[in-house]
Amino acid sequence: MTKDTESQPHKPTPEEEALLAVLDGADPFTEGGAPGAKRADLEALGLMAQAATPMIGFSRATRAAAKVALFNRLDLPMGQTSGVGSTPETVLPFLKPQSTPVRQSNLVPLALAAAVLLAVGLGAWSGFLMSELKQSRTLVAGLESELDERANQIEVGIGPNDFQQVLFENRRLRHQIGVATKPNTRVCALSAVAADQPMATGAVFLRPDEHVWVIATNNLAKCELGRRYRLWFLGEDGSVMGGELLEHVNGETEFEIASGELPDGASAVLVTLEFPDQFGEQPGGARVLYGERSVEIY
Amino acid sequence: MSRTSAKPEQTRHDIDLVKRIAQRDETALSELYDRFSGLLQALSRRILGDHEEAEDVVQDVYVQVWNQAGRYDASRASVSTWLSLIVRSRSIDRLRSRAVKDRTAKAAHEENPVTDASPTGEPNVLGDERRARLQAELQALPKEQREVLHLAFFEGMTQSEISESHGIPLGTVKTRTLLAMKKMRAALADEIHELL
Repeated sequence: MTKDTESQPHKPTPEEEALLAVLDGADPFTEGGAPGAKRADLEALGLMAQAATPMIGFSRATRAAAKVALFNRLDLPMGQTSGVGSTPETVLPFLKPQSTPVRQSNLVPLALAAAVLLAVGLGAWSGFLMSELKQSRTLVAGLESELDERANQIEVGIGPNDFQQVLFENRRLRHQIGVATKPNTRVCALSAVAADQPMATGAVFLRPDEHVWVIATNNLAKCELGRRYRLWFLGEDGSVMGGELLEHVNGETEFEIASGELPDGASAVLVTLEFPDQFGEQPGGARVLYGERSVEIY
Repeated sequence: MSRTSAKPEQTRHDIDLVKRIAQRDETALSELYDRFSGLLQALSRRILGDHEEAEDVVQDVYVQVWNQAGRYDASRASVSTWLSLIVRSRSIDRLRSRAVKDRTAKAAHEENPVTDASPTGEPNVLGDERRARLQAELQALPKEQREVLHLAFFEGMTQSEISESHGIPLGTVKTRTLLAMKKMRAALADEIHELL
């Protein structure tokens, strides 16, 4: 596995260079596309593209208008198309044909008169229905327009606000807790080693098969301005195997959780409090938490 | 963790739609539009940060699909990937052609994306559950890796451009990008398999 450290950039193999090239030339419409592009790599990129969020404000009505514009541009009829931009024909109730033949007698004029009355009645009823339908369509169009407007207002109003942040945090935490609670996860308890933070504790959940770790901390002191907590993985001989800044772990709240990339062969975990301007390849700040034994849970 | 599977029948149906479009069947174009336009709009707007420009891009792509559907090769990519990558490419072209590039809005999108379904509640090509999972996977990447992937994928920057603009050694950029892509590819293994 490639180590996840900035100081040791991995020299890409030809296959990996091809993977990187897919990013630059992933356009299936251009002749040839990216050199060496593999189907699986393209599909992965396609799926990542599809992870883009759905559009608030791009409602059915807006989409219908865009579709009409497209079909007009292509000079194609909309009548036979289906979906959001089409306007299906109104289907009127089907009248069953009369099964009993009408006798030719003096009742014929009466029957004709009745038929005329029926036709007039049906015509009036159809007119009423069409009028109602027209009103309903106007109402629906108005509501859709209002919905668009409201959605746009919400979108503008929300921006990068707390609500979205909460949703996002919720998903991040669910993902991390999901990692921590999978079968065969190992856990390494972290104990306080800093004299000024004796109540600090933590646990690192390790999934070597997925090269993922999740850390949960308790009672860490709030970072002073300009300081950040950083996690380090140490080898058996104490050498540093990698380290990552702990996003979302800054002592702002009692319980905090973060995750990252697990290097191969780590045997101990250390959390330090570092000055970002002085980040080096070795722990330089105060040592806060340490753990070296892991057990398999579940 | 439950996952929503793309139905292979739907994948085949998508291919059939493109074949019918190549034969000038406008109803197939209509159906393809209904199926993917929301997704493609979202993607284009994520790159461009502009609603109207995104609409223009998507319309241009559908015009291109109508005129050149015969060039689609099902052995190279699924229809959803084909369309998504064309839209990505056209959106990045447009992004590059702008005189002034305002990336602030897109950065905000990256950090705080709108995550709920459309107000119409219409089904998305990618189920909400799966999309949420993909977004979680993206968010689970270390920040440095997520950043280079964003710059490369949604802003179309080459590895060298990222290296120069952010003052990061080219080798480090490649390492981060590779790690991110490999993780995403591993996380999407099931979905990729369904599309192959």
